[in-house]
Amino acid sequence: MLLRDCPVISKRKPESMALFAVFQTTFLLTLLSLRTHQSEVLAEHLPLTPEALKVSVNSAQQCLHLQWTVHNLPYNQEFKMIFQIQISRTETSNVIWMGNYSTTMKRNETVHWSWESELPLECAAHFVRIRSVVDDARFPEWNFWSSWSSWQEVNVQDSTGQDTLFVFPKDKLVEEGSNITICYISGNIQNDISCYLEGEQIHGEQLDPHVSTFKLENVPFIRKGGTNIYCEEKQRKAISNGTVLFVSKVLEEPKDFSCETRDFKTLICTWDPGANTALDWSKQPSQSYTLFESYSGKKKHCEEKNRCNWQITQDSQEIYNFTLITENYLRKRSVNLLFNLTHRVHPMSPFSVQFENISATSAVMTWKVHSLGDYFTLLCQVELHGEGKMIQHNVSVKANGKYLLNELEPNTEYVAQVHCADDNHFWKWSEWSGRDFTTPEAAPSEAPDVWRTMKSGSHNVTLFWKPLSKFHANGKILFYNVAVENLDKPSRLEHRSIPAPANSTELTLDGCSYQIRVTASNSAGASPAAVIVVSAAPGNKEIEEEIIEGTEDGFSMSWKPQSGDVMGYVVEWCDRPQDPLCDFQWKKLGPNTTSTVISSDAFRPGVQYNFRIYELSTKRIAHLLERKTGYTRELAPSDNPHVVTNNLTSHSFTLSWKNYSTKSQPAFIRGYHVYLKSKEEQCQPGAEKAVLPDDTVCCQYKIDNPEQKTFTVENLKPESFYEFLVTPHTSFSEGPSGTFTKVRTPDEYPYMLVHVIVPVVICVVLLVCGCLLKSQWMKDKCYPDIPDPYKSSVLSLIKSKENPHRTIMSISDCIPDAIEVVNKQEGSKIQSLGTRKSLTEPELTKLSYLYLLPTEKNYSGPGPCICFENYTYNQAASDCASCGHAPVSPEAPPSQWGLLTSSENLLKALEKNYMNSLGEIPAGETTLNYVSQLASPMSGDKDSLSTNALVPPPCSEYKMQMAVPLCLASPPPTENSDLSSITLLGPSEHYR
Amino acid sequence: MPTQTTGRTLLSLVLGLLFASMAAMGSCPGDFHVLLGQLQKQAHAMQDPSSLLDPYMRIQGLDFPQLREHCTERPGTFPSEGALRGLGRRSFLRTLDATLGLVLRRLAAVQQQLPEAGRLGRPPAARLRAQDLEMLKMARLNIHGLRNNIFCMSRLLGSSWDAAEPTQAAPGTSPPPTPDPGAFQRKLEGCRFLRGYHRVLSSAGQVFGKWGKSPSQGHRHRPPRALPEDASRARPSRRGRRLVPRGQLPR
Repeated sequence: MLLRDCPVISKRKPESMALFAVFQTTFLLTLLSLRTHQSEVLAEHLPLTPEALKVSVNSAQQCLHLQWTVHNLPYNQEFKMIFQIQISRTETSNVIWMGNYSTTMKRNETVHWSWESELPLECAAHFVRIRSVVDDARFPEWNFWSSWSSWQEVNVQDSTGQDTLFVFPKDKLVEEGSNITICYISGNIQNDISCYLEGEQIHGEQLDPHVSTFKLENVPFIRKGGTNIYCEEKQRKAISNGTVLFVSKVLEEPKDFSCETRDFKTLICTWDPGANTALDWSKQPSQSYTLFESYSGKKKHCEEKNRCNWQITQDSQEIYNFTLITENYLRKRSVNLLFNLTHRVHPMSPFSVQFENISATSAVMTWKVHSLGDYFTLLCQVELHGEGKMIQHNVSVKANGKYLLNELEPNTEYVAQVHCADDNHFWKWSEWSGRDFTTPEAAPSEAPDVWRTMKSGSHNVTLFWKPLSKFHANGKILFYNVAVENLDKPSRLEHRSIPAPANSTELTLDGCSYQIRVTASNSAGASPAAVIVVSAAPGNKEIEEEIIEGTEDGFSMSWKPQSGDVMGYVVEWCDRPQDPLCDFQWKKLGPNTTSTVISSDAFRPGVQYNFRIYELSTKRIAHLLERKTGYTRELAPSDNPHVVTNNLTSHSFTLSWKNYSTKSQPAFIRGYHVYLKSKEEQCQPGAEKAVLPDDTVCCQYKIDNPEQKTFTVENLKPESFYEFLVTPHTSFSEGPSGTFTKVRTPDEYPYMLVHVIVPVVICVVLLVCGCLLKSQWMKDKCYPDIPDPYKSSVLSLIKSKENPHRTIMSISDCIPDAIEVVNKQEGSKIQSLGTRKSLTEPELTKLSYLYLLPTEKNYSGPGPCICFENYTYNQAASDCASCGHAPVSPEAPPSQWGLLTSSENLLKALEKNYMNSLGEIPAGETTLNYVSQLASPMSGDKDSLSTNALVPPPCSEYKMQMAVPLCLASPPPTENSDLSSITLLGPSEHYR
Repeated sequence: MPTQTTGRTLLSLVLGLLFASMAAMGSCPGDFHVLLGQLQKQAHAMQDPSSLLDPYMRIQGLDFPQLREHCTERPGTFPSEGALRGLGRRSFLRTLDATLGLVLRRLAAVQQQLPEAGRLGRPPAARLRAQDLEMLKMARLNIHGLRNNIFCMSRLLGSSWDAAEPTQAAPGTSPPPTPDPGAFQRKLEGCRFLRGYHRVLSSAGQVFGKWGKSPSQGHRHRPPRALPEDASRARPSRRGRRLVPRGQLPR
């Protein structure tokens, strides 16, 4: 229950005081005499019960407005009374509130009183009754409670239909954080109704079968459109009704309330309004702001929410007491501000900012200010911004300001600005007013930093210089002047001008010493000269390179001075050593410095940097002092060497990676690891077992010399597979786990065979070649050509015979040189054959042979014999085998024996073919049949031998020739025929 | 009646000014198919609830499932698709224009009830509200654009817009005074109204689609002349009966 929000009003009706004055005395005298009696009568009979009780309703504010009167007050004078009020809900017996209300009143006067209900009045019927008591010490006899007035019923929502549902309160405006009770009234008590607050179901309590209430505490602000509360009937599945709770944000007190003047005509008051409490549907507009000045009593409604202008009157009011009042429908707040106008002067911005007499190092700044009167002095602050720096100066100004800006830098853009404030009572600076200006150029103030490189073995000097800093350049450098002076012999100075922004030039000098002077020039002049001397004898001695460890911050190095007469030291290096241009750098150090740290943003891990430290003599001649090399951070080698396998034997092979450069690696190569995988479990001496990242075990050979780029793996097994990997290692890691290369050791026997067979083959080849070369000689010696029978004179005799098909040589036709007829006994034949007897038939037909013995004079010794078949003797041609030049001696070489043995078989086969041929081929069809044979002593026929005991000629070989008809040139493909055919091919194919 | 007359006069004045300005600008496409394509695209884009209804529901706090379910078009507020299909082309255009005019006015009324975001203390909510308010503004501009094209199409069809019969739903037509239903019901009514708005634009898109399929209507721009109303499509019983939106977006 709230009382404060409901207006409580008490009123008294005007009385006619004149009438009262006339009759007052008369009545009092009468009444006084009857005082006691009257009191008793009043107590018993005068009804002081409140009457004419009327109750009205303000639904929006949920207020009950009560008014009543007490007619029976005895005297027309004020009585101090207490009214006791009872309020019931739903039914009279359900008293929900009872309280007293004290007031003074007269008879027939109407009393007003209000009561605010926390429950919307529409949610339930309310009943009100009142009783009173006179609480006046003057009338103690009336100090008793009157009877209760009759109950007055208040029923706002009395028309609830069967299917209607109402939600109350409607569109209520509350402040964020308030507690509020809502209710719904349903005409149908059977409906199951659910209510939701912003989509979330809320639960309440049932007031009666038709009414349920929901208490919402500390309601939040959700949106300007209000918080939606709605109820739906489950059965109808329809939104039955709802309401919107318009929750306003709490009105904030204005912050930073301040007033000031810029021209003594207007006061500008500003503040931070805080949150806007406006709500949609015109439920609450934005909060309003009103300015009230207590001294003048003036008030102004502010149009804007955060500022208000107040006109200063000319009545010389200096002190102002402002109250800023803000209010909305729910709340009102205010803040005060008391100030002296002259202390709240915020000057306007200076204007007409100018610069005069601008030189390279100074300028004069002038400006004007808006006058505030003769008695006002302004404090102006000049700020100079340039080159990333800021300088402030303070100046007191009446009307026009002026300030000398000095110590400026040449060729520099500056921004100068000024603002002012009341010098007497500082309140606020004005806004800045400013302009920029640029100082002109001046000659460079410092010599360029010059250094040189010299190619060894030549007189070419590359001169480098660093661009001057902006601070020293004093303008844009246009060109660099290089003057070269020969120190060894007087000559004319050589000048060279190199346009900027070049930073190097190449000089070709002779063997003399030169002094080189370099200056930088801009539009204002030239810089001091940088002097460097190139000595005729550079004295580049061999200096060992020292390894240094770098860090991410650079390379720390120190050196030992060699001579005391030193002008300084220079450290030179390349920022990008892999690039052809290398980005040459140098650092000059003083004579007392023997250590430094070289750092560069260009330094990268895994790149080897080489440093040279020079000593500069007082004659400005540089001598190489030390050499350093190192990495800012060594990285693991990214590549393994490309390995070639050499000298592969059954027990070893050699690995070679001579093309692997240790200089271009991302770290100092300290050596190599050779990994060898094999099926052997044990590693060879010199190797140790190692476990690879893939958990395989192998043997590791360590090579600690980075320049050793070959390695021989020994003690291997023949015919075995091996896998190897060569990887470099640095001080902290090794190369990547690359792919192993497979090698198979060869078999050792072929190796031996190669060593034995090759010489033998070579010898044989040589022998054969020799034989071939001497073939004619061999032929002549061993098997001379058989004479052609057709070319013999014997042919002339044949033509005259009866049988043209048979050529029979008659002895009489021959003109022999010598004829020897030998009739040898069989026994001698057998005897002569010796152990070879088994090879011949036991009974040999007797053959008669005609031996033609050469008659040449030069014939000496056993020569070839010719044995012609003589059919007239009816002897088998095979008997011709018995002819020979010479008996075969048992001392003949094995090969010869073999050949002979072959000849025997051959001859046997030939015999057979031959005989068959003779039997099958008519003699007349054969143009010429002859058998020429170098008779062998073993091939004779026993019978023939017995009848024709020929003495075999001393012939060690056989030769058979047979002319056959063409039709017989291709005998059946039998083994023998093969042999025969081969044999019959020609004389050159013998003994194959 | 005086109120209705005043409303009709006002509508005629507004439309007349609008048409006059457009004619002066000469911005109407002369090709029937081009114009029809624009109308179809506009109707298609504006039938999407995300262009107007969704921002409205977010602003009013109605974007909850229980409320979405019940935010349905109130029957009779806008002409049905069947009724629109049954109209002749000029009547259809007039009806659609009147519908859009009503929506415009209601939107203007709603926007007057919605103060700018200002400093609400909760930046995300304030930003979202500002975006949604901006979408409402855009929706109004889009409706103006569609109405312009309706005007152009009407001219292309040879209709003298000035001679067109004023729609019954003249602006300013106020329903008889009824007890204030409360902000919640007004919010819900607005939601239903806009649901109908999107539906009627969808129906209009369908009707425009039918126009495109009718070969006899695919003619080039002709000088304005009074084409006879497509009487064969208008039922006799509906002659003289104008379909106009009757619903009102709660003020």
